[in-house]
Amino acid sequence: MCDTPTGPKPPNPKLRQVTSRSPDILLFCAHRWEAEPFVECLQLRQSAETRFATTYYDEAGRFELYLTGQGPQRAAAVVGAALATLTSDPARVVGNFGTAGCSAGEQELGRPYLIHRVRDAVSARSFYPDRLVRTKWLEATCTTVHTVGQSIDAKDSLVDMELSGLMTAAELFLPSAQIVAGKMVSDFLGETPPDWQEMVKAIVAPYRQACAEFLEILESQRRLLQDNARTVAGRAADIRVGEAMEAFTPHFTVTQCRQLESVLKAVALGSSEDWRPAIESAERLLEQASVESKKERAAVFETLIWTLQASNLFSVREVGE
Amino acid sequence: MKPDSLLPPFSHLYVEEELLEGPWAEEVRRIRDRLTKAVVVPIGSFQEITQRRTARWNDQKRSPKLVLARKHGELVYPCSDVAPNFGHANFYYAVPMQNCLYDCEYCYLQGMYTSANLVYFVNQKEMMDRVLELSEELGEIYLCIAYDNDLLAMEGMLGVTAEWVEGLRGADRVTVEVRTKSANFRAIKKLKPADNFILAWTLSPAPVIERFEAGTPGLEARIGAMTEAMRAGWRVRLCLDPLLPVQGWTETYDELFERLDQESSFWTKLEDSSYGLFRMPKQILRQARKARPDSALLHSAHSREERGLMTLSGTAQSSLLSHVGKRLRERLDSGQVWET
Repeated sequence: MCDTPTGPKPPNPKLRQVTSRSPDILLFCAHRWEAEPFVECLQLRQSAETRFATTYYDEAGRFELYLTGQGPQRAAAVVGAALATLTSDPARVVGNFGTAGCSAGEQELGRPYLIHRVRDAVSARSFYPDRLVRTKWLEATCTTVHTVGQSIDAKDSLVDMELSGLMTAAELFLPSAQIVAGKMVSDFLGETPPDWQEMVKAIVAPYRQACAEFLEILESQRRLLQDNARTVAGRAADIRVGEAMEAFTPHFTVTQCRQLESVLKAVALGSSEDWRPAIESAERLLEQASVESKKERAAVFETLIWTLQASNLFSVREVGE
Repeated sequence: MKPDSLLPPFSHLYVEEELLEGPWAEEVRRIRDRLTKAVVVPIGSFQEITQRRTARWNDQKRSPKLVLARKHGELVYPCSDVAPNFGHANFYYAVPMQNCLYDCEYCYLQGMYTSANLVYFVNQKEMMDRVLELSEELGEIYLCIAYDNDLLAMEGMLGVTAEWVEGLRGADRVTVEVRTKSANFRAIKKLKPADNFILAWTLSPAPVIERFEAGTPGLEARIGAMTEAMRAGWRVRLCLDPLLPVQGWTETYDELFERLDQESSFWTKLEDSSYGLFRMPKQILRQARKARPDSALLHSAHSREERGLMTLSGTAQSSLLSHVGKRLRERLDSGQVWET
C-alpha cells in the first residue's frame, strides 16, 4: 500500500488555469528584507514572468516564495492568487515568517515565535493553525492590524500587518494543518516608529538563524503530513477507482457511476492485493452483456454492483443466497 | 529539535477566555496542573476550534488537543430513536465531554464533529442541576453521559465520572449510564458504588478490537475492569455494539462468549446486555468517510436499514445479529437482552 503514488493528483485538463507546478512549500513574506535569508538559503531565483507579486522559485520546483507587500488585504490577494492555480497536494505546506511588534516586556526582542492563534484586529475573527510538529520555539498569538499604529487590546499578543489576510485566503484552499506561521519580535509597540535600518541591524543575525530553523519546521510538517497513512491509502484507492471507472463510465448514468464509484472504493480499500480479479470479472460481465436499452443497462448495473460487493469482506452473503 | 517529531496528545490546551478569570478559573487551573507541559492558548469560543471547515480529522487525531469550554444553551438533550432506551420512556443524554481519546474505525463521532480535538465542559454542575430539574418535571429519567466521549478513559485527567457519581448519588429518579471501552476502573475504584449508575462496557472479539478499535484497551483488560466493577458492587452492562461481520464471525463471536463464560458468575452478576449492528445516519457517514478515507468498513455501508440508517450490505449481517442475540438469551433472561 505504501508504494502507491502519494504525490499530487495530475491536473484536471478541464481546468486550464491550473498549472502543472506543484511546489512542496510556499513561503510568503511581506518585504524583500524578510525574504532575503530564504532566497539565499534555498538559492531561489526571481521569476522573470510578470505576475501578481514578486515571486522566487528554486530549480527543483520544490519552493516558491512570494512578496505580499504590506497589509492583510494585499497578503490575502497574493496568497489566494498563488494557491488558486495549483493542483491539490494534501502535504503542501504554506509558511509565513516575518517580523512583528509586541508590548514592551511581553516578548523578547530578536526571538522567534510560532503562532498558535491569529486574530484580526478589525473583524475579531481568529484562526488556529493545527500544530503537529514538535519544535523548541516558544509560541504566541499574533494580532493583525490593518493600519500602522492601530491600537489593540491584547497586551500579550504579537502584532503584524499580514497574517490574518494570509490565513483568510489560505484556509479557502488548505486545511489548517498545512499552514505554519512564525514571527520574530523586531520592535516594541507604542514607541516612536522604529528606524527600519536600525531595527534590521539589531536582529539580522538571529533573524537569519530563525529563517533556517523555520524552513526545518516546514519540512518536518510536510513530512508528517506525507506520513499520514490514512490520507495516503485513501488517495491511492481514489486513483485505482479512477482508473477502473474508465471502463464503466461510458455505459452508465451519472448517478449510477457515483454509486459504482462508491462500491469500487470499498472494494479497493478492502482488498488491496486481490483487487484486479474483482475488477476483471466486472469488466468481463460488462463486455458480455447487452446494454442497448435503459432496462438492460439497469439490469447489468445491478449485477455489476452485486458482483463487486461479493468481493467485499463486509458485504458477504450467505451460501446459497 | 528532534526531526519530524509529532507533538504528543494534549500538547495544547485551548481555553475559552471567559474561563480564565472568575468562577471557572479554579477548574481551569485544576486541569492545567495536570497538563503542565501543555501550551495554553486563549480562544474566543470552543466552536472556533471545533466547527472549522478547515480542520482535517485524520491529521488532528494524530495529535489531539484539549479544549476547555463552558456549555451554553440546552445542557441535556432528548435521545434519538436510534439509540437504545432500555425500556425507559424519558431517555436523555448529556455531553460532559465532546470526542474520544480512542480511534475506532466505525465511530460516528468522526462524522459528527469536524474536529478530533476533545472538548471538556467545565460547567458539569450546571448540567447535573438541569438533569435534576428535568426529573422534577418528568419523573424518572434515563440519562447517558458517555455517548459522545469515553469519560472513564479520561478519568485520571478530568475526573468527570466521579463528579457525576457524587453529584447524582441518591437521585432516585435518575438512572445514569456511563459507557466505556476503558480498562481504567481503578480511577473510580475508591468510590462507593451508586445504585443509580450503570457502568456499561463495550466489548468486541479480540480480532475486532485489533483491527477496528485503535488505541483501546485489549479484551482481557476490559473484562478485568468489568469483573472488578461487578465485584465492587456496581451495576454493569455488557454492550456488543457494533457487531461486525468479519471473516469467520461465528467462531470469532463464539470465542468471546466462551471467554466470558470462564469468568465466575459473570452472567449472573451482569445487569443486562445490548447488541446491535453497525449503523450510521447517511449525513454522518458521508463526513466519516471524508475523515477516514482509508476505511473499507465505512465505505462498505451502502444499504439502508428499516430506520433509514446506513448499514453494511449482505445477509451475513442479519445472521450475525440473530446468532449473537441467541447466545445472549442462552445466558440471560430475555428481559435483560436489548437489541439496538
